[in-house]
Amino acid sequence: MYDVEALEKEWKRYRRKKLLPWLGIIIFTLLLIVYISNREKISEKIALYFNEKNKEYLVSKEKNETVIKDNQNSKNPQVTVNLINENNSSNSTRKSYKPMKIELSEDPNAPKEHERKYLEIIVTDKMHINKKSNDELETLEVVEKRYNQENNYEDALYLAQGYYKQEAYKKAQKWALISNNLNNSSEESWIIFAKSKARLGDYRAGEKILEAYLKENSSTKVEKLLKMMESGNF
Amino acid sequence: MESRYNSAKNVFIDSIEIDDYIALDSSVASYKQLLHSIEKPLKMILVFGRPGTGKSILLNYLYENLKYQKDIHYFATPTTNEKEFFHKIFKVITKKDLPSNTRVNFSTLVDYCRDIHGKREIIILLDEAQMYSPEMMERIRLLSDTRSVKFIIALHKTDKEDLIAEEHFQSRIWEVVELNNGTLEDIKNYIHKKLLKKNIFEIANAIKNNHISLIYKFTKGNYRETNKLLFTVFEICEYYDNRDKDSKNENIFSKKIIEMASIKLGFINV
Repeated sequence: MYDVEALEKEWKRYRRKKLLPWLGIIIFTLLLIVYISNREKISEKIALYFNEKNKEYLVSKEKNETVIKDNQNSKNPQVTVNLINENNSSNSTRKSYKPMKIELSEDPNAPKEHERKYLEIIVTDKMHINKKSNDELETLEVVEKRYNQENNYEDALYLAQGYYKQEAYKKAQKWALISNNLNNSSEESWIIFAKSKARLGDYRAGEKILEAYLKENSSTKVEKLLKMMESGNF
Repeated sequence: MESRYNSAKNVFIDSIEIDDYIALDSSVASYKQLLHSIEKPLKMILVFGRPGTGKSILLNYLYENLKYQKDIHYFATPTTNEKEFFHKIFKVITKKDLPSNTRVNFSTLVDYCRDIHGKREIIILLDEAQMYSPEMMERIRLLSDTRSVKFIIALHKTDKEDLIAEEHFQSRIWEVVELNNGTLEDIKNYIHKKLLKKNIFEIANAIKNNHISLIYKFTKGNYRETNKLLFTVFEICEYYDNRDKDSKNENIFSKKIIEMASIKLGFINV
């Protein structure tokens, strides 16, 4: 009599080998089902992943370019951030505030060595809003309506934060400016404005906004954010 | 206590005993064709087929059925020694023994066969005829030409044997009975009938169509391979039956066991 136990082990090996193609088919089918049912989410994640990759690539490329250009010309950067005090007291309902306007301007005659060529990946607000849950959007809408009635700084900042969270960066930028107009000492409005700029691809503007804030104020949070942007980790 | 699978195992020992003959539709047809051919004034009949298609058992079955009715003789084991072979032929034809130190004078034997033409009709069944040398086959042909001796020759169907058949019998064999591997239905009937013949009902009932299909897949309907496979299957069943004595009522026969036996016999290459 031969060794039946050894034969059984051999049979188990044979079964595993036989099941392998089926296992592959099942896994493939499951992945296909998961992909079909979550196609939009997966596509979004893939797009975000590649966006991040593009940004990293461009930042690293930019660094290299800057090093080379710095050797050639060490003039001041051309993108400047102007903080313009605007006397809006006649229009403002809150006269106690001295609203400030954050304005970005570029010197068209300046040499171009610091100009960055970002691949601007613009994701429209509409597209993003459609993807977010109705609850969050409804809340933002309610707060927006309330702001229109009360012109409250907290509401404006909440909207800026909310839209930033929703990845609606243009709207976040708009509400950061409004909240900054209502409260010029609001660090958070500067941060959201700078972050939104960066998220829309304009990293240099984001950095300049933060640098401008740091000239007048001291903030470790803003410094940290600036460092992240400069190192390409944002 | 002997395992219930022991008797089932023994059913599938490959043999050509008449008790093991299973009357399937295809084998019955071949048998009838052979019987019909014997009645014709033919000199040679060729039973042709791949190994394991039932040639030997068919010849044996024919011999056992006709041995009291006809002058029929069955040479199951080929005798490759020419002297010994013609001693046997001499004895069959003349019904006399020759001393072992003498040699058959072939031309005298042929003359003797001519003399008995019309008085006797001798039928000689030659199994495994591919084992005989071309010279011996030529002498067999000469004997068959006397019309007193009719040869029924069982040959394996391979390329080489095709050539033998072509060279030696093309002009002389008037009838060819070709045996083939069984169909799925044949194999099913074969297995069930074999078990039921020995009253092994429980195991016969446990063998379902999916088991038969698997067996057929591996053996391709060859009866000898089927016997080998089922013998090994029941040998494995016997092992499990003896090992797990507590689960006596549990049916061990399964596709797993068939696959294990197939691995053992090389039908499956792991």
